[in-house]
Amino acid sequence: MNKLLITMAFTLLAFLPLSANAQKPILDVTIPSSNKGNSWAEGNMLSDALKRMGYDSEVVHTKKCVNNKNYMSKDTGRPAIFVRSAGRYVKDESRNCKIEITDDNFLAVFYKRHQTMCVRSDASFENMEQFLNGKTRITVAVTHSSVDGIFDNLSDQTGVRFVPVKVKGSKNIIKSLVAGDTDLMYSGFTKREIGTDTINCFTTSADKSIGGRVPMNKLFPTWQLNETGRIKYFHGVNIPADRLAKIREDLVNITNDVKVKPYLAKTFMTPGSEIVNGRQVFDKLVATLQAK
Amino acid sequence: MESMLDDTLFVLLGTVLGFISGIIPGVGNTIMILSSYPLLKDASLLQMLIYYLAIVSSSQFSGSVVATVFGVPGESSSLPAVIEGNRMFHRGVGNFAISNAALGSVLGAFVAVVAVYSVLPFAIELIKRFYNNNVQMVILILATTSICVLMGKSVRQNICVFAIGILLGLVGTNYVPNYVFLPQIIPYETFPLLLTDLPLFPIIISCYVFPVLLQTYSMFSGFDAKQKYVDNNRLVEHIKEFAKNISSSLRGSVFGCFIGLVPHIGSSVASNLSYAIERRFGLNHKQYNKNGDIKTLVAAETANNSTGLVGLLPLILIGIPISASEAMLLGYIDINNYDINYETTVESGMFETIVIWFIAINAVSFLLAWPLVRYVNVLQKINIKHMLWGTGIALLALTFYLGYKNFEAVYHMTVLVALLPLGYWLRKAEPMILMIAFILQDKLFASMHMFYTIHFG
Repeated sequence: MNKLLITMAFTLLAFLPLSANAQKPILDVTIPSSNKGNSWAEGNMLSDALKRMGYDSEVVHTKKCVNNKNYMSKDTGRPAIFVRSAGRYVKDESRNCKIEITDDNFLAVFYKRHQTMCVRSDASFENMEQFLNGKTRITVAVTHSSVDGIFDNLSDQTGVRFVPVKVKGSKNIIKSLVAGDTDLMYSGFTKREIGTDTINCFTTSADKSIGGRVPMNKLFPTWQLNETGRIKYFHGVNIPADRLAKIREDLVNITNDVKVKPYLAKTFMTPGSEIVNGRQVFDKLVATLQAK
Repeated sequence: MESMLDDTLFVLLGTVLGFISGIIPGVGNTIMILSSYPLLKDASLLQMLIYYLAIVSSSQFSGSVVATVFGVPGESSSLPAVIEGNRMFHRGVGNFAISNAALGSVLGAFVAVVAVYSVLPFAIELIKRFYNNNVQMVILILATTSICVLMGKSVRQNICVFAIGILLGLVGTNYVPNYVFLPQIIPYETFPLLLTDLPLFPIIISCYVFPVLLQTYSMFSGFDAKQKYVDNNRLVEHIKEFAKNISSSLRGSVFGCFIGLVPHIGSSVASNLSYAIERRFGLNHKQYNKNGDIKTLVAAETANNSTGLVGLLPLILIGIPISASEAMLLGYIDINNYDINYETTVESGMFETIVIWFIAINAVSFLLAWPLVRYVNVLQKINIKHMLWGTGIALLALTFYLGYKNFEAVYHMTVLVALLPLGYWLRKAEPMILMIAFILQDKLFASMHMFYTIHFG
């Protein structure tokens, strides 16, 4: 009898953690990019934040858009999210990796990150007019995923031809500028841009000055991308309809998480919770990017 | 502490496997690095580099043993050991050939360390001041052109092989410039995984390992070794003999340090050129022994080992590989998403650790080589055909396993099988050229595209 009781007790103990875990709602985070850089760090940070919010969350490293799409088509029994930017969405579409956005899978906007332009810190840069003075052509290091013709309007406005030079990886954008390959760089305003002392980032796509950096809408008032930042949204994967509302609410609140909040604040990003009509803002940005 | 222990394990494993790769005909460093993927996929950058150095350095020690005893070159840099070492072996002094080659290799490694430390500050200053996309493009073009001109038998065939490597590298999505290659011809809709590029591992198996194994098989057909290796001399006698040849060894070291930087053929040219010059020197002074000359052998083997560390410099400083095994290593470094340049290696302080390990590896290899060389006769009992089959099957299983781990087993195996006919054709060419073209294609095209945009866009 005693043996039976002990066996039952141990069985119960063995199943306790499993059942406790089973009660937690599942929400994994897939990461369709390399295991370094912002996307990887953000994916892991979100998974940890979801755990703190009471979810059973794991990171699924799908590496590439095509693999991510394959993963989404499988019945894994584990709902998930992934984070995608408007620019990435446009690029995925153009590369035949179409993951359609619907009202059901567009869960919430994660954040808006501002863009910046930088010159080398030894370039004795005073202001944009002086920098452009006497030049007919300027080379600008941009990420390889940026859409074509992004500076056409800017070239028309300034009378100086801005030539985008595509570079793989945001880290290499800085390297190209510092090595003297390009005159300027146009990139996301992140910790890296703020912390690199060999470059001078003089403007921001935010609508107000940040840390003494002039808003782009003042420097280039008619450039269509002068307030365009990088908007990232949460894309739902196999989420049951009855859980959608709760997950949406939690993802809006995730920007207040102890780790997520300082991450956004440090690089002056606007949290999704502060962006009104997030879906419309996202669609507008996609339209702008697709137009040029 | 834990990391130090891991690093030590990587070095020990690399040393033992390098030893095996040198001693077992046909395996070679590139195939050994290739087979190490499961081990390297979660390794740190330091671990990858010291593991690589351990394989390359220790295989030099054991490679000269095989060349001397069996008269079979593991790699083209072993040719002097085949000629002179094997002649010495047949006149009963093979033990001195092996011991002097090993002592020369150790000396070569030390000279290489001194040479590297002498040039490193200048090299970094040069890179900081002048290394930009233009320079990178020129280096890449020179490196790729040199392999087409200097390697193999036919430049035309090399260009053809190079072009095939580039075409394979282009399949899928390219990032700079950003486009999908030949979407009208390649059925991306039917096989969407093709958009993710052709997988490295199956390509290496089909287009490098398969032809190399075929080449090795034909090299060993008809091979017969009856004479046994014996060594009845004491250590002190070997050292005394080496002392007589130390000037040849130093000359070889200097050649190795300079010529090690020639892309893709550095060690081979350094070894063979040192040999040729030492031979000329010996002939002029009427010292050259036509029945196996120890001075020429020592010069060649020392030069060979000097290139080990020197040849790694372009990869460590600017991320450009100059040999097939380095290209393979770079492939793994890319897969693991590490950046390799002077900032991540030298300025991070990693290089000092690499050098310390390099010295340790050479010391351990030397200590291992001597006692183990007595067992070289066991190799005569190995059936080369069975060994090559075993290597092939093991790598096939590894391809399936790695594909399975990435949810792409069928894709990996399909690519492997589809490219086997190409691999069969490559047995009569230089498969290394295809691999280098495949691995460097994105860097080369990105550089050229950037150059065009910056200057003419």
